[in-house]
Parts: sequence; C-alpha cells; structure tokens
Amino acid sequence: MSNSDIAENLFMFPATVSTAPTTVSAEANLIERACSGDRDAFTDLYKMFAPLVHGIVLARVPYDDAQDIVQEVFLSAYNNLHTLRDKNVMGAWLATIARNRATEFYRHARPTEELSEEISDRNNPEAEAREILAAIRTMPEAYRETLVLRLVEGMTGIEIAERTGLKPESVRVNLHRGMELLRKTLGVGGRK
Amino acid sequence: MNDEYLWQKTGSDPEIEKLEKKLDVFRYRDAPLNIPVVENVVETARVPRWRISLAFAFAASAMAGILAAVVLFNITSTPVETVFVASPELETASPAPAAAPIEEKKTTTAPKVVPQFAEIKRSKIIRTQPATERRPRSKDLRPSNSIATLSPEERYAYRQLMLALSISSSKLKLVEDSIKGNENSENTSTDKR
Repeated sequence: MSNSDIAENLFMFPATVSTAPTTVSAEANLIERACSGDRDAFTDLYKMFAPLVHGIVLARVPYDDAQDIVQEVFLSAYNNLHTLRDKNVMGAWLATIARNRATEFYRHARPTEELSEEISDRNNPEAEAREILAAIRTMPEAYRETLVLRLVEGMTGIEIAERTGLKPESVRVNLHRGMELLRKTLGVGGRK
Repeated sequence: MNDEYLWQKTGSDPEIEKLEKKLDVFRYRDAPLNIPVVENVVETARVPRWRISLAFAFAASAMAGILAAVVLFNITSTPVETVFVASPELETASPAPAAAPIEEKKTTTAPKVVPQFAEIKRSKIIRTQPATERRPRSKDLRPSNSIATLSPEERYAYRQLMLALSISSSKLKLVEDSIKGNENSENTSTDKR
C-alpha cells in the first residue's frame, strides 16, 4: 500500500468510529458503581480492560511475569479508583499504570540468563513465537504496543483506539508501519 | 499485506493470520482478579499530604507571629529603667520619663470608677517595705544590696569578691595607663622625627 492509500484511509476513518460514545458511557457507569463499592462492577471493568493491560505489559516484560503485573495494575487501580476524575479515560489511565509497573519491574528485576541453543529450538512453535515477540519488543514503543494488542490480544484497530484513548489515525499508521518493520525484521519480505 | 485485515479483520491476509496463530500462545487467559477483602475502594476522608504540611506551616507561622508580638509587647511596655551605680547602697529605680506625667493627667481629668471587687483586690497590695528596699522590676543579676540580711559566711564571701574586683580593676587601670603611656611616647617620638 502506498502512502497516498494510507492517507485516503485515514481521511475516511472517522465515519467508522460511531460506537465509541455508548461504550464510554457504559465504562463510566461501571466506574461509578465500582467507586461506590460494587465489586462486581470492578470485575466487569477488569474483564473489559484485562487484555489491554496484558498487551501493554507483554510488550515490555516476559510472558511469565506479565500476568502478575496485570494483577498488580488492577489492584493499584482498585485502590486508587476514587482519584480518577474523568471516568471516560479509564483505558488510558490503566495503560499508564501498566507502563509504569512494567518500568518498575525492570528496576527491581533480578538478572536473567539467555536461553541456550538447545532450549531455544527454532522448530519448537513456542520458541518461534518467543522470537517473534522478541522482535516486536525491539521496535519503538508506539509500534510494539499496537502490534501486540493487534496480533497477540486480537483487538481490532478501532478497539485499540477506544481503549487506549489514542486517535484512530495514529493507531492505523502505527499498525501499518509496525507491521512493515516486523516483516523486515523477521525477513519475510519488503513492501508489496 | 491486506491493510483492511490488519485494521479491522475484514478480508484475509495469510501472513498476518499465521503470525496471529503463532502468537496466540501469549494471549491473555482469563484469570480471576484477586482483590484483598480488607481493602476499601471508597476513601473519601483521606487528606492529601501537601494539605497537612501546608496546615502545619500556617500553624507554625501563626505561633511564631504570636510569640514575636508577645516579646515585642513585653519589650515596649517595661516602664521602669533601673540605673546601676558604683555602690550597691545607692541603687535607685527611676521611673520611665513619660509614664508619670500621663498617669497624673489621667487622675486629674477623669476619676476612674473602680468596681468593688477591683477595690478589694487593690487593697490587698500593701507596700510594707520602703521603695529603696523593694526588688527592682527589671532583672538584677547582682546579689541583694542589703548586706545586713546576709549570713556571716555570705558577708565574708561578698567582701572577698568585692576585694577581688577592686584588685582586678586596679590592675586593669595600670594596664590601661601603661598602654596610654606607650602610645604617648610613640607619638612624641614620631613628632621628634
């Protein structure tokens, strides 16, 4: 796809984001209920945002530690929910907490050893997946987050934009450029 | 690369689908959220730290202000100035120069209506000692001037102290004179030159 095609798509994009306000109000309602002590409402919020938080964390830390950090992020959010002034930016707020927690993880992390060649066998599908994830992690932050959310968590571009609070145009560009960079890194091929 | 598939999963792109399939092992698996029961979401009464520190700062400055005002008031309102002279027997307390005439004026112009309880209170303050023997209002670091009230040992110690002071003062005088003499001799020598 050429740059002009991308520009055309970007121009056409806003018409497709019509479902955002209803989702936002449902979030706000859940947050209000959770603030007043409704645990079920917070559990619903957790189910809604857990893939987003997991994706953001996974873009930075190893898979084995990601789940623990997700729990920490939601626990922190649960304890500080009353400090959230704008109820419509829950996703962006959680994303910020997740990024900070991931940074803290590396601050307190113990030194790790690289896998030996025997263990990291290329024919092993999990090892291959780890290699792809490692390649994604080497990319700039904007690309790696959107790519993990799209390829690992299975979210669409619209969902990523809604949950993270980013502009859909930015997400689309990040996805496209990130995917091209990943193909180059993995040696799949250049532009078509 | 099918951009629409990458954006909203419409159509198909075998390459991206393959990547999705491989990376599926890392996808988020639904896990229950473990929230401790003791934690409480609603914390409306929590006061931020900066507010507490600000309140402390205000309280401290107010206290300092009050203290300064009290000290200033005490300094300005001391009416008696004690004059110390060489001999302790001649020590007198002189009243403040402006205070006495103002009081006189007040008494002559408008006689005060004193309530009964105040009169009773005032009548209790009876001066039994003459003014010279009364303790001065200002702080006197020296021992009491009435030598007659001292015990023989104290009297002896007092005299010894006085003797020591006089000797030291005379020595100081000698030193001062010698310094002056030296200065004079130097001056004369310079004049001669």
